[in-house]
Amino acid sequence: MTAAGLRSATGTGPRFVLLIVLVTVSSTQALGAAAVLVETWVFRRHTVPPGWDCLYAAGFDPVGSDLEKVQVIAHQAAALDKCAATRPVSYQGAIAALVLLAVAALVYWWLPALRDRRRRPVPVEAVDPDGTLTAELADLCARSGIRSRPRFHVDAARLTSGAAVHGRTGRYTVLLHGGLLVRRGTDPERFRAVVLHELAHIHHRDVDYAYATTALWRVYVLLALLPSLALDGLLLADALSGADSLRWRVFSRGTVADVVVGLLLAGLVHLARADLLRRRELQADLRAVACGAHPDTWDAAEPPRTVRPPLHRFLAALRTHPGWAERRRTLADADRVPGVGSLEMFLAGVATWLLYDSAASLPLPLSKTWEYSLWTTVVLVTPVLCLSLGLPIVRAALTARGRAGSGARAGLWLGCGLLLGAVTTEGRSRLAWVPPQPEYLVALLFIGAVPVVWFSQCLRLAVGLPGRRRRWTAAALCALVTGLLLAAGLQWWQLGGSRIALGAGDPGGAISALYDRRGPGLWQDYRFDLSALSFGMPLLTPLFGDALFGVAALLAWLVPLVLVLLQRPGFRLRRTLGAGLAGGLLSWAGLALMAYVLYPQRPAGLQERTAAYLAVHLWWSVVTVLAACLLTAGLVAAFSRRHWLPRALVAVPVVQLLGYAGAFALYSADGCLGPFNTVVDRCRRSHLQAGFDNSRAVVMVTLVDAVLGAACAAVVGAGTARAVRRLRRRPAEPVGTDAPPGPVGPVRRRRRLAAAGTVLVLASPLAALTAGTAWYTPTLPGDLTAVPWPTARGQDQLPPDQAAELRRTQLYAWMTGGGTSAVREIDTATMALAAEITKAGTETPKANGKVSVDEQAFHRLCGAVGDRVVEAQRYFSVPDPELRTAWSDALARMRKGAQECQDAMVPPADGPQHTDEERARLFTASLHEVTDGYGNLASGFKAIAAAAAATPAPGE
Amino acid sequence: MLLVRDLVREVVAEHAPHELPLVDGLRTLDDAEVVRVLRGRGPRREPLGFGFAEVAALVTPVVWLALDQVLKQTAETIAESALRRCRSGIRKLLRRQAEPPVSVVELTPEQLALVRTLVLERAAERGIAPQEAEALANDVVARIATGNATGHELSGTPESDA
Repeated sequence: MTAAGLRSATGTGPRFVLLIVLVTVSSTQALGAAAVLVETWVFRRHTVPPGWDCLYAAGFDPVGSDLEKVQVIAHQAAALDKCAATRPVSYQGAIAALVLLAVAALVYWWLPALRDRRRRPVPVEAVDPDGTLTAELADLCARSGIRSRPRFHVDAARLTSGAAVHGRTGRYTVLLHGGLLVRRGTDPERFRAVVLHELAHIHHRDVDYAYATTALWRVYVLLALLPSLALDGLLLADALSGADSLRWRVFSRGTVADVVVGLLLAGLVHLARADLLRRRELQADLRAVACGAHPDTWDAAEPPRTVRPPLHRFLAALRTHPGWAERRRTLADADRVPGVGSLEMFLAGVATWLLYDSAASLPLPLSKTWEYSLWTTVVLVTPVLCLSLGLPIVRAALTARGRAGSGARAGLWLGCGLLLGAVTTEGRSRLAWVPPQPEYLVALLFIGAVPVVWFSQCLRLAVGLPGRRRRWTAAALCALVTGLLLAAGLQWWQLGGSRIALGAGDPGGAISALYDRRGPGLWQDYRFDLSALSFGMPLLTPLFGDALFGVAALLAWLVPLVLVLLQRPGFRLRRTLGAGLAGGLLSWAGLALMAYVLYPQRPAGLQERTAAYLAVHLWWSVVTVLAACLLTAGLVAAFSRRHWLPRALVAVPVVQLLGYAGAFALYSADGCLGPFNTVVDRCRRSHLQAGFDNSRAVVMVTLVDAVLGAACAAVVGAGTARAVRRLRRRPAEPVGTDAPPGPVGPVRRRRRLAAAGTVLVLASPLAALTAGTAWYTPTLPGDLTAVPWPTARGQDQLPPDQAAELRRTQLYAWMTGGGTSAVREIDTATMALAAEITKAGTETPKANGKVSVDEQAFHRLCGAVGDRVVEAQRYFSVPDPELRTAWSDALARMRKGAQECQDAMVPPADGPQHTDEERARLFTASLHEVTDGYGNLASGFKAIAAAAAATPAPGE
Repeated sequence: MLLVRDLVREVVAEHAPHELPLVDGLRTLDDAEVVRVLRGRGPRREPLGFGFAEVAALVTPVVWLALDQVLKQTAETIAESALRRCRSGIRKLLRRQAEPPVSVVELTPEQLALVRTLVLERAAERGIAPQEAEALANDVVARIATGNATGHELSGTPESDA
């Protein structure tokens, strides 16, 4: 793009595209939900909403607390994933959305004809007997530079001196008001200005965008939004009438939230469209003047204000046209650099979340929906953000006037939009509008602020680079990293933040319980440490081991470092690197202090030290390294006047490297450090491996989180410093201009070598660590799902008949979701085993009265029974606690029997050796175990089936 | 027979020829619609619309509305007027042929004086200079008087596109 092109670019195109995609995807969700409602409520087909049967099979309790729901989901996550993968993907919503799109396309196509039919305009030739008007219009078309000449019509019913343009791609109509033709005689300049303005809209393709969004929005409202709201209303009315109270309890909360989300979307689309059209109007004014319209024409009087200023400002945001004063301001200072608007960023935030939420309803495999939704959202939103933020920065650099802000305000507004979107959409699956720990919602502000500030400040560095190609490459790289940072934030919230806000970060003390199970009785001295670990690990682990976010963290500091080093001489980095060095030394001091404080708490035995004590030690090492990174980043940002986020992030890898080196030294020199020792007391060289293993744990947990956390700390540090400066009445930043890229002199060889050396020293080890963590699969401390979870007590609040109905529904879902087929599989395998036993029984006994059996066949058949039983154990627990015990015990018994049978037939190499006599006895006992277990299983399943039998079958 | 729309065009051609494209455009509508337009409705916003809210035409509404007011007083009762409006609305809905153009009936001297007064009043309201207003009012009255006396009828009236 040329400099002139950049100057006139508005960046509104991607925003229009985002709006169109958002409305389309939302219609998939709205229509899909409407189909479910019709199926469920109108035809009374299911008590369980389609798509929720896996959850109900897992024991999901719709009236339970939000925390209980999360616990149920987290407890049976693997089984839920497996169940979801077997469910057919619903295409109802997508097909309906395609139909909606087709209707919208038809409306877009026919809308101009409908307008003409209603308005009955006359061709301009009908009122132009001498042909001068036609000739003048042709001249204006030529001047405006549009390729296809539009049709000119006259709307005689409008006496005002205006015009409007409508149409569809390649076929536009400029509708001149009757009064404008009169104006041509008295004020030809004004006539030309109006026509040139309309032709500028055609030139900028505004007609296509405006009418495409209009058509899609109207069709969406008529065919998707209003029917959905009407269905919701009917459902609520039905529920409130008391006709079906359980169904009401199941659907009510989500229905109300659906209505709110629908209204939020309507407000968002209206505001965003109005904002976009206002910007397009200003660009059309600029283009009209550039094509020869006289700027004095815009000296029109504002209509008198009839409302108070705050209300006027609010109403102005709803209008599609800017006021005359704003138009004149734009024309008077065409090179003025308008910063990115707060409303624009706020709406972008809401749109981001609504898209993220609704894209999950696209017809994709259920287990992958959030992943696809995340990347769809990021791919669409990143260009919008980068253009909105980047154009003012680029124009500031081109015109050498004004200065673009740090991006913090814009980022926080984006975060506010994300917050509103999250609270609204997550309300669908929550009982409470606000989660139990609302303070964690603040994280969404950082999820918005970090990418925005990072891009704004890095792009300012990028536009200062010499060479056009280098600048474009840097800008593209900045956009890529911004997208990754946004994705990291959204992913963190999805996997961690939202659960923590619900109070389910460590649900029911599961992590503590897990560690307790690893070393029972060893944790009583570390209760505080364990609770700190339980609190901190859910915050740190959501992005754990994800290679892509590892790369994002690496690039987040590497890109600004390279950009800074490529700047003209004078951009000093020594203080920043020095701060990093100080932070690294601080981490050393912290590690030493931590080791010293923990030393007296060491257990006496070596074995005990490697269990709970070492885990606590490692945890505090992680905390120390992280704290040093965050503190350094916060202070660097607070004391940097410009480019505070890039500077803060450049300091972080120095702290990280030194911190990791410190941790490695601490653990590998274990035994030689006196009161700083960790596990052993004797100084040996062979502790290098232990040092490597332990410091790897520290690296793995902190590698990504240290960088992303440091970015958040930098936002806090810069914000605090700004507030303090304001209180002390000092200017936050020197008021001046963003210096344009100055003449870049020949960079000296020494400087180049130093720059390359800095990048190499910092990037090589951290890149290697990133690659290493991506390839290394950590062994989890245990199976979290095996931890006993608190039982959901929600249905205790229900009246007995409703509680019984809910239980029946859950059992029915459990049976149809896989319980019945699991029993069938076990039955088949057991029958095959029974057949082999019968076959052995028919053999002629030997002299000792016994028969020989085919050991391999029995080994195989017992193995098959064992496998089927393991499959059944991996399926959901029975939702009813009383029936669950019998079922689980029967499965456990069968599994034990099957295993013993296998061991008796083919003894394991590392197991105890038995005589043939003993093996025969074991074999017989194992078969009894299997058959008894099978009998218990059959009676347990019969009981489950009886309990679920009252559940109405589908269609009833 | 002298039609109102023809009389207005003649007067506009004489006193404000730059308003002729507007008059020609208005002549594509039926008289009732023209009167509604000239009485003015609030400005409607449309996406990608641009322009100025003030009405540029001066002479056309002055003459057409003054004539409309006098002719309504002379030719119809209020009830008839309402009936006519209803019929016009139904025609429009059914997209039938528009109502025939209104003609200028023979006016008494008092009614002619009323026309003159109304033109002067409306011209003053729209800021037309007194001398110009005077000339405009006289011209309108003279054309009504002579047009009816000679059975004047203009040719080439644009057809309404019903």
